[in-house]
Amino acid sequence: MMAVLRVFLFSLFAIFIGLLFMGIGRKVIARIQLRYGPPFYQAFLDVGKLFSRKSITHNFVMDLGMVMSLGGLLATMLFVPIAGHVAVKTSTNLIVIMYLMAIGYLGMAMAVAASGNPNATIGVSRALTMMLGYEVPFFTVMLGLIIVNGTSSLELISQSQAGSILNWNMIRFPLSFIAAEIALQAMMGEKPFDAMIAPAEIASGPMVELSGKYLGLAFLTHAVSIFVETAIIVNLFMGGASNIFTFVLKQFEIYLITVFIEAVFPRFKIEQAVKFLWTVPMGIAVLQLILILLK
Amino acid sequence: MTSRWDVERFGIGPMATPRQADVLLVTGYVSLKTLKRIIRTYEQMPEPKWVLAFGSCTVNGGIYWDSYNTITNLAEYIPVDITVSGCMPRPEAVMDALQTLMKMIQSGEAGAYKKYKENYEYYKANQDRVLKKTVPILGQTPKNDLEGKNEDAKE
Repeated sequence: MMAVLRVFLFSLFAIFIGLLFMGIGRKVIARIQLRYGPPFYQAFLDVGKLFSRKSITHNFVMDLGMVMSLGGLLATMLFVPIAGHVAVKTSTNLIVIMYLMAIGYLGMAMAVAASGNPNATIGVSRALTMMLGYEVPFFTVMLGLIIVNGTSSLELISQSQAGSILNWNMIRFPLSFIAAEIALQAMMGEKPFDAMIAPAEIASGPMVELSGKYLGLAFLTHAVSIFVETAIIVNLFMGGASNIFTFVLKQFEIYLITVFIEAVFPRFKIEQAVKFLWTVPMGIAVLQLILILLK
Repeated sequence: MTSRWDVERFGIGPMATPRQADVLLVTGYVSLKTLKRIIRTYEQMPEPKWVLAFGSCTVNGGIYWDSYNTITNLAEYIPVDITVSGCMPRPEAVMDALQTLMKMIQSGEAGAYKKYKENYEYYKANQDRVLKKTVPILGQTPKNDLEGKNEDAKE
């Protein structure tokens, strides 16, 4: 009973923080573009409105896929330690996290492919290609950290950086951090790497057939994915945190970096994006890996 | 709407597809060719949905009032909730109209999409009457593009 309650509370917390970040991100982008911008709680209003609307479904697989994508990401979230709290305790959660994170995107792929819209199919094929692009450098970064710490437990990696700020992996392995940041930008689908969404080109890609509640679920999925991905970076590079407030603040810093990059960059074509991800961040990550192995 | 007027501060933003849209803005004169697309877009939008007719051209034809292939009153073909007159209306007028529409939705005044379902025969007859003109006179057999795409509205 307690376990169920814990899972439920963790999910609500992740969704709340993710939506808050999305709203603040929109405001920040507006200020960078010298606009006034929507209120910071706009994302909550949007989700509320979307869930109150009539929605069009195409078939059962579409319903299932949308729920699977949200469920997959929520399941990932349960393995991520948040300031020492973790919903499900395991000893090798980094591998489980990376494994489960793909399920969310595969669920989304299943749902939108079932809708039968060609724009959606193009968007999904781009999203999966992009996944191939960012996972290789990100796994290389993780491999380096696993070798250094001798463990694949995210909790132990974050605990090993306790003490001063100089112990943070961000300072100890700056090259890894830069590579992970670039991979994170692609992971979140933010600007230089948003070829899968591309509203002007393929009519918002995977979301093209999503109306009402389905779009609301996609919003929630995005909110949870923001939470999970920033939480992984905070645990890997910024030493976790002693309380939840500091943890969320650190997550917000990471999210702000991606928002700043998002606000000023144009879009890569998909083949340019994958080429970039497999050369620049991959090169940096491999360099750091060699330095770690030589040490 | 541009960054100078920043319509996003009211929580309004452009969406790329009719499935995600609440409001359809018909901006400018409607030729018969455009009307087909407008009807198709309108019927693909999920309910509740609203239409904002923008500029004099959608109200009475504007300077195209006697054109052979331009409709004069959009409200005869799809139900219009709110109109902004002027040629061209200022951006402030459009933002004001959108906020008025929000108030109308709050008070329950704006429900033209229900009229479309109730009086479908009226709208369909009007649509067919003008869209007949788009059938080519010479060449292939007449084909009505709208056939089979009206299921959403009939539900």
